[in-house]
Amino acid sequence: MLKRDLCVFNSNLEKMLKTSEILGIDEIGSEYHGNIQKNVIYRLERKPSLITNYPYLVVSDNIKELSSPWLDLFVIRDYARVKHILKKKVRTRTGLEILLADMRLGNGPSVGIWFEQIRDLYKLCNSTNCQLVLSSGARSPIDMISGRCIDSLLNLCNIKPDRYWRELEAWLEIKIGKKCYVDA
Amino acid sequence: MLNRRDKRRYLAIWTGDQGYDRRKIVDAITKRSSELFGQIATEKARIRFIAEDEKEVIVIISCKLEMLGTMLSTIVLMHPPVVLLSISGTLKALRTRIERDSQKFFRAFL
Repeated sequence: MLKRDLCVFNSNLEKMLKTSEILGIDEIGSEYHGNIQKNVIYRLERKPSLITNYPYLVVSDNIKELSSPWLDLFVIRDYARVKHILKKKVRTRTGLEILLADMRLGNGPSVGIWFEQIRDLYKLCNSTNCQLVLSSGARSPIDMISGRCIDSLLNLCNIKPDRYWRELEAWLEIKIGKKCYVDA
Repeated sequence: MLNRRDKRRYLAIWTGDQGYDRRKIVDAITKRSSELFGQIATEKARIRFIAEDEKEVIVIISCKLEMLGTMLSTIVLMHPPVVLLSISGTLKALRTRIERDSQKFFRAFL
């Protein structure tokens, strides 16, 4: 079972890939800067007009784009604010992403609330057939999170890690499989 | 005779130039753990400083196995950030692993 961190911001992708290998992360998601690397899923703001030779997800954090048919992954910055809109407007099989980097600065009570929000979001994902995505949001190698640590956070949110990684893999197969061509 | 020794896990943590020195890292983890999981859970974890590498960027700490989950979550939520490199049940195995992979670690993080 592959472990993935779908949000890593950095132009030095090779360094991030080396770090991810150390941390037990098999694939990372990052912005597209023109060159294609193995084990990277690219995050694009707009859907390319042609079939690509690299795997990508169309990502947005704009709530107005939540029900767009081309949107693969919606980044949740403030769950309490978007919760009601999410329930009404989210499309089936959309990925709902939370960035762990946002939580590092939080104090005890805000981290506690955040864990509760993830539990709530996971329930919402199950009821709307969406995919919860926990990503590091790392901006440098030291911000990255090991696979084992993500597992422990999932356990704290009452999510079975095995199930989470399995569901994420199946979701990515559906999302990426249709729209890009990758040489075998 | 029953073996009454606690099962512990040894954790290698990359602290880099985040301003943690050998003792401060344990204090910082203890403080963050208390804030997130409470004093009782933190005391139960029995976090201990074990060693530091020559370049003072990798620190080895230990905690009780039963509280490993909370310890890993605390490490993720540390600010300034630190990175968990490896976990082992024995100090010897962890040291061997760090020695074997140290070049990789330095290439990735420095």
